[in-house]
Amino acid sequence: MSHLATQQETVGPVTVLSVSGRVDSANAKELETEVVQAVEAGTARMVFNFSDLDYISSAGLRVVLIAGKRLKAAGGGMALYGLNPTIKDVFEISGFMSLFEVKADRDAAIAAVG
Amino acid sequence: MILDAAGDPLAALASQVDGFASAQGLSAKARYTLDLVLEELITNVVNHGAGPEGADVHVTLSGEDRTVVGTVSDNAMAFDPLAMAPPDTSSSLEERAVGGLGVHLVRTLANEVSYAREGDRNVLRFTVTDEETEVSR
Repeated sequence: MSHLATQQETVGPVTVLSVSGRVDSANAKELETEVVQAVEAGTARMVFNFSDLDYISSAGLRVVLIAGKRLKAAGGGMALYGLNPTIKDVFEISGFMSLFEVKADRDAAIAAVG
Repeated sequence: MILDAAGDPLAALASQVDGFASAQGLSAKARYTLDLVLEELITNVVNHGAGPEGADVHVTLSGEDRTVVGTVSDNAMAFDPLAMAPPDTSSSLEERAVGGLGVHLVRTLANEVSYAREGDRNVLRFTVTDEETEVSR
C-alpha cells in the first residue's frame, strides 16, 4: 500500500502541490491541513499535480472541494492536472469536472490560474 | 473469505483486500472500485452508525467470473446509507455542499448495491464487475 506524499513548488504567483500515493479517510486530514495552511499563508492560486496519485476517496474529494472554495474566496483559483482515467471518472461522477479546471498538463494548469 | 475488521477496520482490511484483488487478477480500475466501495461503506459505519463503543464490522468478499460479490455488515444502530439524498453535483462551487459524495460514488461505481436490516445488523451487499478483459498488473 502506498501512502500520501506531498511536495510544494512555487511558480511565480502559483503554488504547485504534487500529491502522490493515496488520499483516503485515514490521511485526508493531513492534506487538508497543508492546503489550509498554504491559503492562510497567502496562497491564492494553486495547481494540484495528481500525476502520481493512485487513489482518492470521498474524504480526499472533500479536501479538493474545500481547497477550491477557499482559493476562490481568497480571490484566486485552482486547477488540476495529471488525473489517471479512474480518478477522472470519480471526478466526473462527483461533478468536479465542471466545477474545476482539469487540464491535460502542468503548463495548461498553471496558465488557467496564473 | 471472511475478514473480521473490528478496531481499525481500514488498516486491518487493506493488505487482505490487496491480496484478494491480486488472487482474482482484478484490473487496476476494478481494484480501485473495490477499495473505494469498502472504504466508503466502512467509514460510513464509523462516522454515522457506531456509538462511542465502536461497532463490529464484518466484510466478506468472493469472486467468480470477474465479478466480486461483497458484503459489509455491522451491529450499529439501523442506518440505510442508500436512503440519503444524492448530492447536487450541478451546483456552483460556492453553493456546493461538502460531503455526501461517498455513497453517491458507491452507488455509481458498484454494479449493484442494496441495504437490509437483518436481526441486529446492517447489511450492505454489492457487486463489482471487472469490465476490463486484460489484466493490467
